[in-house]
Order: sequence, then structure tokens, then C-alpha cells
Amino acid sequence: MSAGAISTIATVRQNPTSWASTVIDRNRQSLSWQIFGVALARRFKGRSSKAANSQKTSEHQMVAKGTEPGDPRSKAAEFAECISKIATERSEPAFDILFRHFAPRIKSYCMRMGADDSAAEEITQEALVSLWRNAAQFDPSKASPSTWIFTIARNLSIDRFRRSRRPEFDPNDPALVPDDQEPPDRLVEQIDIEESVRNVMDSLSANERNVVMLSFYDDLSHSEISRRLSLPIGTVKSRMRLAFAKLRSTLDAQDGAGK
Amino acid sequence: MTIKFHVSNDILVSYSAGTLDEASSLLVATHLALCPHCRARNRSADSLGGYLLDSLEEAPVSSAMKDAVLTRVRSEPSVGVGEAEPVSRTTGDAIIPDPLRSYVGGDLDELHWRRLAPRVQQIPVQTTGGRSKARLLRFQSGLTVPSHGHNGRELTLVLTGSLCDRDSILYRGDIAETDERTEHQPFAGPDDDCICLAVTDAPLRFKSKMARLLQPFFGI
Repeated sequence: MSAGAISTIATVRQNPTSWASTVIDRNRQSLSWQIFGVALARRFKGRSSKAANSQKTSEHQMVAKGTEPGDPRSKAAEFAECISKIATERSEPAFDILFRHFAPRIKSYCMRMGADDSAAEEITQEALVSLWRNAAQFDPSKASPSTWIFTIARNLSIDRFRRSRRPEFDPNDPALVPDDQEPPDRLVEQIDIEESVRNVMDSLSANERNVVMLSFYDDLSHSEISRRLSLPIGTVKSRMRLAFAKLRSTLDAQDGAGK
Repeated sequence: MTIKFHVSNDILVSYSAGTLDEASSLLVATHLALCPHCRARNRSADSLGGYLLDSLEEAPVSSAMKDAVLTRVRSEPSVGVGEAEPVSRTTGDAIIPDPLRSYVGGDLDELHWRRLAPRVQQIPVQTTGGRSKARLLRFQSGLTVPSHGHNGRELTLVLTGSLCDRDSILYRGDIAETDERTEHQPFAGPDDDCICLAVTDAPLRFKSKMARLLQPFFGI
């Protein structure tokens, strides 16, 4: 896997000695986090917390804040509107907004997947042309703009760079088992799923988010993450366990049944 | 029949991230065709990818690339704002769902099985990249697989019949996941032949000397 541009992401402000106490402290909280993670996420619906890419995330950030201009929800709404303007009026200003936000991030993602600079630019270029071409297919009720664009970039980088395939199910297949006809009050809207994932991720400390990132995008094992961050493997494991315990509540509970 | 044994979070997240090998991804995608519950979980995992994309550091993008993109999109033909394609199910029946059906070249009645061992047949499934190997296995009803351990991870997705593994009975759509620590002796249920997709990333470790001796010939 790529050595990639990890170091900037791996910028961790605390010194190593404070991590141990953080982990112990979080252990005490973990049960209640797991139980209340989704409930809180739902409860604070409509009042999301601030964008998570700052390193300054506090340890107790599951506190709702008012909607702010940099709010990921309003950003998502703005991006969705841009995609719709590309579809309806081929708007270049709208495309420019999307380009400025997504091009550097798609390129960054490709480099984490192991592409060098020029291959990463090539895939980024394809992804953005594909965004333009398929703008009319974007359905905001099914995915946020970021999620939709992520799946475009992912599929292109597997095709182009890894020369491998990522098989997908076919929603029209005769052998497909259709979704249950849930009563309306049990239906979980996709937009709620997006929001609970976002809320749980916002609730993680920068350290926890960092290990999730290394595990998700770089597919690193615990020992590789431990080397990369110069952390004891025990710390990596407990941090990973806590982060995924919180995420698990959103991964497991979506149809409300868990059957 | 409701599916009881689902794909684990680790594997689902790797599938969504695009870091899972093709053979294991094939098994996950086939399970998703059979399991509405995991299709919802898969959407969660994708939104995690979207969230993390927003959180990535920005890599500097060359201005030449931006110009190239603009030139290309300006030359794109206008596309009408089409409604999303309505989902219309293909008519007809199939036992093996896509994408697996395309990989093995047809549905159950079109397959050419090869004998692997007494009462066991197989069809190797071609995938690229990674060490993992996928194969369709067909156990005659009631057959017991010789006791074995694993040198790596094994994923098994049941497609027909049933498979009894340790304390569980698996039916169509269920997944069994084993690792280095697992030693087991699964057996096929008594009613129908059990057909499953098995993905291994290392050879099995059989306990009996006879099975070990024969192993190189079967490549399992």
C-alpha cells in the first residue's frame, strides 16, 4: 500500500504521553457512547456540528452547535445544487465550486490508493469529467454529493490504477432479494444514514479519526498503523476498538432489526 | 428465509473503501444481492467514504489539469435531464445471483462441475489481483468435510442447501468467516446438496494424514 501523503493527516497535536490517559478516559465512556451514539445523532438532527477536518476537535464534541456557514450540511446542499445546475444548464461557475473542493481531495485519495502524482491527476481528471457527464443521474435522496463523488473516484481508481475489479450487485437481477416493505415509521432515509455517520465521526477525537482514516483509505494493519504513528500497538488497538464501536452503531442498526 | 450470518464490519468497510481483493469483493457483492440488511449497511460504509473524502488533506492540483478538464467538459454533448432509470427486474428465475453468475458463466443448470474429492465437486472462479482464490463448491447432502484448520481467512457464502459449521446452521445467503484460530469440520445438511462460494487467502491445514497427502492434487 502507498506510503502516500500521510504525514499531514497524521499531524497529532498531543504528545505521546497524553494518549494513554485519553484511552483510559475513553474506555470509561465507551459503553454509553455505544448506546447513545445513534440516539444522540438522531436527536441532534438539524443541528450538526462543525466540519471535521480541523485538527482541533475537542474530546467531548458530541455537543450540538447551531448551523454555521461552514456546516457540512449547508455545504452538502450547496454542492447538490451545483450538480443540479451542471445537469440543467451546464453551469461552469457551479462546476468550478465543485472542482475547487473536490479535485485536491480526489487527488489526495488516489495517492493514498498508491497512485503517483501524474496517475493521480489523470484519475482525478476522469472523475471530474464523469461528474459532469453523469450529473443528471445524481439523486440527492440516495447519497450526499461527497459520497457520490467518492464512489466515482473509488471505482475509477480501482479500474485504472489497480487493474483489478470491484464486483457489484445488480439491482435488476432476478435473483436479487428485494428490500423489505417496511412500515413508513421504520423506514430509514438515506439522508439520515449519512447524517448519523457524519455525527458519529464528528464525535471522535482527532486521534481516533486518524486511525479510522488509516484503516479505511490505506488498508493498514494494526502493526503498520503503530509504526506509521510511532504508537504502541496496544494504543492503536484500543483506539481502533473504540472508534469502530461507535461506528458500529451506525453500521449495524440501519434497518432497525439487525436480524 | 431471513439471513442470520452477515458480512463483518471489517470486510464491509474494506469493500466500500475499494481495498478488498477481487475474490472477496465478489463474495461480498453476491451476499449484498441476497441481503437487504447489508445493502443498507453498505450505504453507511459508502457514506463513511464520503465523509473521509471531505476530511482528506488537499493535494495541490496543476492548473494544466484544470484547463484540460474544462476543455473536455466543454466538448461534452448536451445531455437531457433524464429521470433516473426505473428499476425493472429482469424476468426469469436464477439461483445464482449476479455478479457471481457472470463470473461462473451461467446459472446452476449451466455449470460444468469438476470432481474434487469423493462427493465434492468444484468450479474455480477466475479473479485477478491478490492472493485470494474463489471457488464454487458442491457438497453432496450429508457429506462431512475432513477436519481442518486455516492458514488465513476463509469466507464461505451458502447458495443452496445448508451447511452445519460448529454450532450454527447456515442457509442461502449466510456467510461463515473463519481465521487462523478456527479448526472445524463442517458438514452439508441432509436434504439438498450444499453449494457455496468459498474464498481463501491461504491453503487449508487438514488434520488427517490422508487429506494432507491428497491436498496438493486438489489445490485447496
